[in-house]
Amino acid sequence: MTYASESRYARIIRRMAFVAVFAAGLCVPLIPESPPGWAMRPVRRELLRVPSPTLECDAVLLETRAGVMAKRTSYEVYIVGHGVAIKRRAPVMSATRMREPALRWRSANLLEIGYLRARIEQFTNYWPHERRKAATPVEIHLAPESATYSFLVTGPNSTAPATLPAR
Amino acid sequence: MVPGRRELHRPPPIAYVTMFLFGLLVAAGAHALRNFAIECNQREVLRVSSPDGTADAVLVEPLVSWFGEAPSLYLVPRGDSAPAWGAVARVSSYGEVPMLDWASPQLLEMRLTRGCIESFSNVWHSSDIEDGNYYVEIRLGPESALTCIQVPSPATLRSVSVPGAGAGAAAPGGR
Repeated sequence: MTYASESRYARIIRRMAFVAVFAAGLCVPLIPESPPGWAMRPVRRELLRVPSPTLECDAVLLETRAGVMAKRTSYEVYIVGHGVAIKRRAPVMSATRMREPALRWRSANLLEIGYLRARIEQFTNYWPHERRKAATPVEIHLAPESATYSFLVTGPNSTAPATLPAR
Repeated sequence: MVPGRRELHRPPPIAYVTMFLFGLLVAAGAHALRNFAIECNQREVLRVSSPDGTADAVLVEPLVSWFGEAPSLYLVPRGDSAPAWGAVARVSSYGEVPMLDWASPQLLEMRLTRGCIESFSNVWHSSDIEDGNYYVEIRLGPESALTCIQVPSPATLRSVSVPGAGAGAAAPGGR
């Protein structure tokens, strides 16, 4: 290899290294605040599976424990085809600190998610998200048991502000 | 060095650090620019102050629909304008403007006659109010059985009782 070619290769590599370092800086904001699921190795357990009245789809409640890097339990509700395993899709609801969750089909197109207490982190009221025409669309409603607070708690003194519940 | 040969230029490590920081700066600038554009592109549709006058619920929608987020509900310290991020709810396809009703100083209900909830979270918190100890809970109040989807015929809305199909179930635990 001549010196000229060696120099050209070195220049190319150097420029590529500069671009890579610049791209790394660009990508820093894309790093998620919480570690991704695969890094936490979550343990998932199916708590409930309730078929729709027409047996076209199932509402499934999963309990996810991610104990390695973030010690917390979250609850996710998915809608899948009847008897089908849950794939890597976005849940229709994701919550933490959920107490007494329940799934109720009010009709073939209306699912109700009941709970005594929950911190809802993400919820969308329709499925499928792609709004395909083929599948039977389902609307989802949140149905907390309480008519007032379903996550925050008030103290014995009603004038005191509502706060986060103790763990 | 061998005479006659050009010296191979090796950039110092600080050059790579500078490039990394430059990339970070460009990303931060792009993010700030995007937020600024979203803020400029949204107009307030509804603002309702909490009974204790601490916070405002603000519903905004984009001026130019193809750019920016879906109509969004923000909670802000009283008088502040809606930011570009941190919406507690994003709503689409609504006909009438959703109603915002403060049931108590820290409990807001959003009632929809028609509309799809793209995203929703039920607790809002601001570190700017009461040293970060001020929380607001948000509830959704759909005014009808179906506010988002449209079914082909009313017959599909009937409650059907099929053997083996559960009308409902509750999980034993939960915490």
